[in-house]
Amino acid sequence: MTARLAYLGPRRATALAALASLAITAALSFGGALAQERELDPRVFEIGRELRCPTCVAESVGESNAAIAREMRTLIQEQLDQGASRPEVLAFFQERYGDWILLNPPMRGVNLLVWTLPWVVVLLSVLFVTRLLRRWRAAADAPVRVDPEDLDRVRSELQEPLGERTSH
Amino acid sequence: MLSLGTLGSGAVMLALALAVYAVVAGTLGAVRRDARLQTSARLTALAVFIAATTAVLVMQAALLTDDFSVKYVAEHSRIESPTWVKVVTLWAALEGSVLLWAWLLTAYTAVLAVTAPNTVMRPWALVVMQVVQVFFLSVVALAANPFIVLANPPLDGPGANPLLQNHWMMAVHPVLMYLGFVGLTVPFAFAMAALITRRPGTEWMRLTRRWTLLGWGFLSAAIVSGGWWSYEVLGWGGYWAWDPVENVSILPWFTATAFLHSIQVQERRRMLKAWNLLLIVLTFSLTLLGTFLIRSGVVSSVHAFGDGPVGPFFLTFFVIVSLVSISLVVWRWDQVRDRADLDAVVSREGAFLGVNVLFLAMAFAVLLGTVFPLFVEATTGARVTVGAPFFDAITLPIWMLVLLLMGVGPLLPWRRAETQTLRANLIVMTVAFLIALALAFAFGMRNTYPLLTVGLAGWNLASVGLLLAGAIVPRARITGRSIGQVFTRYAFEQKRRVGSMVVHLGVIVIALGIAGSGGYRVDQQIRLPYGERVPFQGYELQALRPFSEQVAGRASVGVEVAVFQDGREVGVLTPRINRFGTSQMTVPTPSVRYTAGHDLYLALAGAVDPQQDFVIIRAVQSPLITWIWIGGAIIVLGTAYALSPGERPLRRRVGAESTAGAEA
Repeated sequence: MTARLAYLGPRRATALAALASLAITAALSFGGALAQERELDPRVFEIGRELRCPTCVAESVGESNAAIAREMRTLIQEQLDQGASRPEVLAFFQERYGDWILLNPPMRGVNLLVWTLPWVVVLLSVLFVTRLLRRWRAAADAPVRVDPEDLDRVRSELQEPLGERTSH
Repeated sequence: MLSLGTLGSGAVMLALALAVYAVVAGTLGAVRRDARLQTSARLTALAVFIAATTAVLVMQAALLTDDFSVKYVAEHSRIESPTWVKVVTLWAALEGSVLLWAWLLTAYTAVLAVTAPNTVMRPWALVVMQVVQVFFLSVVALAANPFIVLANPPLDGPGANPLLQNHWMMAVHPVLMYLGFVGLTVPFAFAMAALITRRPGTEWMRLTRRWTLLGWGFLSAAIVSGGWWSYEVLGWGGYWAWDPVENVSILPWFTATAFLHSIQVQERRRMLKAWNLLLIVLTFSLTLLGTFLIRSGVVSSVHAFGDGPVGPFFLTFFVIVSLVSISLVVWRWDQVRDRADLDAVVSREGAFLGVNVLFLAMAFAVLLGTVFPLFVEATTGARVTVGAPFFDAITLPIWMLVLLLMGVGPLLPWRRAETQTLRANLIVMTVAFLIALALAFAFGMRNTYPLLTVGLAGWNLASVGLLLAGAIVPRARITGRSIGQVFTRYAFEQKRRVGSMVVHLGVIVIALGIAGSGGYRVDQQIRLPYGERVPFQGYELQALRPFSEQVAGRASVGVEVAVFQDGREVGVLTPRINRFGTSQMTVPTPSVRYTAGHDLYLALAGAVDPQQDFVIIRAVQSPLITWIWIGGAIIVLGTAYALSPGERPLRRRVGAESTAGAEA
């Protein structure tokens, strides 16, 4: 089984695999268009959702109906049958395709950026908002300065009977 | 003879020419304060709408009469397709969808030209709308003309993309999406007008409040219906995969949601002027950036139905819009900067600020994750993948905080919360949180996020209860009426407030649906020998017989599967494989048994071969997933309720009132 994927070779396999899956799809007639499958455990799909389907645009192995995804699901099942654990299965594919195959980008190298930047931005915006809030709090605490002229006007207007002015 | 293609191109050209005229006349009219030019620009908006409508009708005529001399029809339609498929083929591919987008924009602009109150802002807002119109119409005319006439028309076409033909939801989802995008253009246009006319107060947002809510409602409905479409069509039992197209559709929703909340701070407290302007600019430009990302092919996606040459157009317009609008904000900085004051952080405005930070952070993380592979490949050449597990890991904690704030925020008064009331409310909510948590735990839930979600659902339910009690009980006590009467009265008088409570309830319902289906979904591929009952998650499945079916434009093969629960037959599911027209693409179409507790979802995983005495199916059990669609419907209802016309303000003329009184 391992050989089936290994002949494609790691990483550069995608173009070849795309061709292969096209050929497979084309060779089968309607109704038989879905290659015969075997039974698969729920765990296969759980692990499959962590892996990128190499020939698809943006689907996981757990979701895709592409030939390669089906093949990889079978492969996962075989490995689980042989007693492999989830990390071992993921490592198996990572070894062959590189980190690229993992939908969850491993936290190292350039990927550190994508993991940390959102939190950096959250932190910065919280800091910014806190500073803003402090300034606004200070503005609220500052004694209200009132122009004596304005105050007189308000007082005189308050003396007027109600209803003569429209209030807002 | 005048062909439909020429007619359509002519209508688009006419619409474009008129729209350009409207921009020029409108600008001159606004600058010179020339009422005649302004009126001329307004009336032209109607003419543009009529011309664009003609273009859409011509396209419909070409689709319905199978006129394959029109390129778009030749490439995307097929004689034997049912009528509804032909009608929706208008938005089944790129050129048609841009035409639809442009047409909806002309419709909104025309409505705005007629209904917008006559203020200093109106001419400028219309100019902005019309500039956007000119952009979309030129994309239709120059880069994605669906009306190109073919010299040698084919006898028949391939038909629309099978994935799109496979579900009636396709008639609804894209239209909702464009209605949302276009709806959010209106507040953007008024924001720009407010800056140009030096009125960055609350007037522009009051004028566009309904438009904003309408756009937001459509966008929310579009996102949920898109999820349902994926669920019913893609055959893997999920609804959201953090695919680039899904991501770029939710980005403007994040910023629009932030906007919807933060404009209330400005309306009430005159704060956050610049911030609100930036939010609406961001929302509008994200719709453009998103369209660029998925239509130019720089980001690949399952949903990218047809790449085309429109990418550079959208990118250019995105850059122009961002630069111009940000320059405008900077130019008017003196007027838009906040001279605000804040009494306490623990207040309604504090909560709104918090929710702003959360939604913006989420938007940033999702945008980053979407473009990161592109960015890394462009700079280092390395290929990296950022997939669903990343997006879940980043957004789930933020969502939990959103749910937390959603419970607290509406209970906090403006300016400053009274510590005692706040403490009493928080105690009630915490108790509700703990009870919900304990219940979920007792039912066997152990995963962190689903548990937290259930707890927070309790927290929010308590919050809504407290809100209603706080509004109704005192009124009932004072007026001496029954709770029911007071509630009806309150619901009628406070449509926005009650509408927002309903929307928040919808969010909670969706959150529960996501928690259940995301955390406790079981996928299995099983072999069903015909006639034998095979257990799956408390059910027994029995493949009865294979079937095949031939209807207009579609051929299907499938299997009838009887579903038993506790030995009793509860239904028959018919997972099948569809094929449309001459397309070689086969679409495995699932069959779903919807129940309140969980869905049973069956899709064919292997061939249906008459020679073979078994069939392989993929069976998925998703707890609570139906509540996502129900929650979506609740959100739409809540939004519609908030939008429904309330009581007219008391401004009746004396004469009218006295006649009304006499009649009564």
